[in-house]
Amino acid sequence: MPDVEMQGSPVDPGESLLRALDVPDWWDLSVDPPRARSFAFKVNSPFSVNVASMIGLEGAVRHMTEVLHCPNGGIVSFSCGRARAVGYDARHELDPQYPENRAHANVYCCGSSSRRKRDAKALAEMCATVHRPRFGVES
Amino acid sequence: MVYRGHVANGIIQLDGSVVLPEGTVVRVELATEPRDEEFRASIEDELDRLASLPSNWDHEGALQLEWNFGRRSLELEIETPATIHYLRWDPNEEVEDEDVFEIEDIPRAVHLIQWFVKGLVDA
Repeated sequence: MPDVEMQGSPVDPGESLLRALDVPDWWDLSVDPPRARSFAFKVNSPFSVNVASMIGLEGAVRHMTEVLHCPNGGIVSFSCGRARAVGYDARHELDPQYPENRAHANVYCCGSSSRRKRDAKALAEMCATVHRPRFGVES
Repeated sequence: MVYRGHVANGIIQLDGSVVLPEGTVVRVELATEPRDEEFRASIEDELDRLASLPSNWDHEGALQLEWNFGRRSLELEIETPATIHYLRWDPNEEVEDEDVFEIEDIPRAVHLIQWFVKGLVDA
């Protein structure tokens, strides 16, 4: 995790965050929300989201499909403020690979490694699927 | 007295040379629950899948066995070659238990899996 001074500005707690999940094993389509492993990264490894008010759901789907080339992935939404309450801090930071996407933010897990699974589970449970994945669906 | 047997063509046959007197009242109890068998088969399938993975298959070095039933979850993550990081989760029982134990502590792993199975049996 970079120094706080190196991090981008905090995302407003009132924002909704959109996360593209493009790994089939991160989903169990018989249940909602997605599996917690999609958030259970090491403590110093942020994951990418898009700020919903800046990109919109259609834009997030288009980004996942046309830029990330993951047409079968799904997208979940969660509250920035609620995520921060369970230890996930979202920061406005560009993705060096796709700097044109101004809606990009990194989410840092601020908890300890001894409770990262509980934190990931809590975050997964507050997610809502806003774009269902299409793994196994003929396109 | 308990005798073991098996079902063949819809008829319960006792193992060995056991013959019970005509008219004996018996009580039949399944030696294995169907869900146990289903659970065991799912584990064997998962282990076969893991055994077929090439070395360093995901470049991250961690494997996780995971079971979910409703909101009940059990995660066993092989975090290092010597340790397992687990999560027991069941909001209905207010269980949010996470810890690390030695990978050779098989009884602890069995205890965790039995906890998960108990949730299936009780459901």
